[in-house]
Amino acid sequence: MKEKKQINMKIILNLFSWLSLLLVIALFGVTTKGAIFSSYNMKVIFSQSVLFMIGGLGLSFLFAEGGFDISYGSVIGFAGILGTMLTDRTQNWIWSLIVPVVFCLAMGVVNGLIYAHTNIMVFIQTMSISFLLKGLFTTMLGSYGSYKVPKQLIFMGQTWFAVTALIVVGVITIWLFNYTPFGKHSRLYGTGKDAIVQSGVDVRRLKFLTFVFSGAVCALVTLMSMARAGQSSTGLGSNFEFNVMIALTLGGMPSEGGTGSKIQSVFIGCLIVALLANGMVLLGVNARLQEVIKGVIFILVLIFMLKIKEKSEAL
Amino acid sequence: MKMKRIIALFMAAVMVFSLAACSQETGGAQDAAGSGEETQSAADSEEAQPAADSEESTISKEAGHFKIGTIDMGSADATSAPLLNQLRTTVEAMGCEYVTATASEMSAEATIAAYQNLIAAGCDGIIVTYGQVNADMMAQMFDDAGVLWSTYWYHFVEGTDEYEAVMNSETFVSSTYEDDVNSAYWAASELGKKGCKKLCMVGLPAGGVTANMRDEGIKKACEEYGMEILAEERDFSLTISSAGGATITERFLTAYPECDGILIAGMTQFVLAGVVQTLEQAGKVGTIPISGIDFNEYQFDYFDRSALNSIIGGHFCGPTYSAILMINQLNGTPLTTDKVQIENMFIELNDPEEVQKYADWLENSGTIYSADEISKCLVANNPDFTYDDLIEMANAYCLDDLLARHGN
Repeated sequence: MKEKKQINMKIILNLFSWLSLLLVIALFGVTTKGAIFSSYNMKVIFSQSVLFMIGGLGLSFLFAEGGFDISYGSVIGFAGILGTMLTDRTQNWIWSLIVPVVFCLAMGVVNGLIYAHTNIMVFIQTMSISFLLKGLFTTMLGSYGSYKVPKQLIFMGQTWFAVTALIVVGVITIWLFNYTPFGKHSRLYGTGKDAIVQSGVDVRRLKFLTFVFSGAVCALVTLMSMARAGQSSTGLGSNFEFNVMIALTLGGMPSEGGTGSKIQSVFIGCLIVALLANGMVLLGVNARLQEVIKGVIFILVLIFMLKIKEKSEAL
Repeated sequence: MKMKRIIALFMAAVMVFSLAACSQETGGAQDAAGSGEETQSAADSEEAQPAADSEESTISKEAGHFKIGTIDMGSADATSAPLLNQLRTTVEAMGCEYVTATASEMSAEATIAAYQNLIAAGCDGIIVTYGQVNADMMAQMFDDAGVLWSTYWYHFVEGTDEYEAVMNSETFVSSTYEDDVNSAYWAASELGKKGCKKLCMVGLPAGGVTANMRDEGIKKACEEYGMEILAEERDFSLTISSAGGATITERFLTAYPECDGILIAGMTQFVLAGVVQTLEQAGKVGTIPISGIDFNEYQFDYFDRSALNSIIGGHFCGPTYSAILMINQLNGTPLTTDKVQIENMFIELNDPEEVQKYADWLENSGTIYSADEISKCLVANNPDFTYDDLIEMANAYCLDDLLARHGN
């Protein structure tokens, strides 16, 4: 009997995110009289989700380990501004491509080393780096409000590139997360740090690689963000990590990570967030109320998931 | 067993909703729920982007019934709230529907998403601030969708890439801007006239046209009155709140005891409370006068307490002028065929009597331009209304104008 109830709880948890997505689609489908299903609108929803999906895929290993990277958005902003600033000074577009890639990878390595070799909470570590980078890029901008992205990179903001990038990063991440020891160990680390250490896994290497992977994906996200906005400014990457966190949570990713972490949460969560924002505008909901509704939904989802998890564990 | 039943019921409900949704006519964006009227824009065209067939859709629509969208930045301060209230009044007075999207974090992604959602919602025109997204990208997005657009609080300087981008955009209508050189010059000069020589300044983040223009005006006033800027604080994370204002002022007073004036060259709506509170705690109210740019909701109280010396703001009408141009254009009766930039005037307050008059007006009145006044700006209602009348209306805006039209 208890086992049955436990299985039921797990089924609910697994299905919850899918059902939520279906419910949101159905709800807005009816209330907007089908407007959300127009080809333009579907394209809009995809374009609003894709960057967060790619970023979420990059952060999924860290999330599975029970951590979160508060500096993600600041890294995007700093890398973008530095690259375009050098392009502006040297009149050579290549810096806008090379600098963000190199910088994001370097930050992945730095964060990875700190995460692997110190006992600093990853939240605190990345928050400190976020403050540092925000201060630096504000100083770097100086008397300029923004720097233009060279036209040679604008293609990265187009739909075909986004689709291709999502497929490539998605396939690699799903393979790594579900079929390699790297993914398995990340989830196990989130479930029980002591156990995985005792089982002989090289935890330092695991933690280092987590941030290196995140940094590599961050490089792609930075270039795509720059191309979409057409410029680098203080708004580039702003609050990116929090949007990803909300999406992952709404998609069913446990906030403490562990074996319950699933890649599908990235896709489902990002779609739910984009649909909510899009659907409410289509319905003409007052902008102030939109924020309230999003907040209420987020809290309800969190409470529901926590309650189900508690009940499952109590059984 | 019970749980399985609940899940089964839930899934059945979802299936029913989905079937109901799929059975509806699909197409482009639709009317917002509750409007009760059908727009005939992209709603009837299947694959088209909303308003892509803009010429057909505007002609087929009932005259004046269009959707005008804007981004609500989520701030209810004394500068943003009147602006949005006035824009809503304008749009509705001209028989159109007012649609908002949110981009409270003001990131590039959130801004792009807001534009896209407004386009998807069937907006025929969109009025936004400029800054997070490059003009080329904005022009391309709105041109592709066939949606008219305007900006406010931004002056596109001739000869720059962004100026070329907006002027070459098929759908760009107008921009409105303020004379930030003169507003900053006025605010700083008021301190000079008080005899201040050593100023501490709270400013906008460095960079951008607005900040640069205000710096230019401040420099001019400093040279004229022999003033010196001892220190400045531009950190957005501090200038966005009154707590930040308090922190900034504490640092000024500690590090620069010789400071005899505080200039708030922007973000006054956020920081002023903290600045005043800190001066009061230090016993410096009246000794260190404050002059600011952008209105604050408690400014009248601060004038009464002699904490605030002068303030310039009230530049709420830019989006309104753009909406008037846009809606007349959508209606087939454009006021002008040129892409224009209209100056948005300020209200200057430094005299206790004038401050009281403005406070009285604010308490008793609604918006700067009433619905009746705005409806006369629609050529369909008033064939005599011209572009010159709009410019005259914009240029006339000041405290006296406000009081003459709506004052006690």
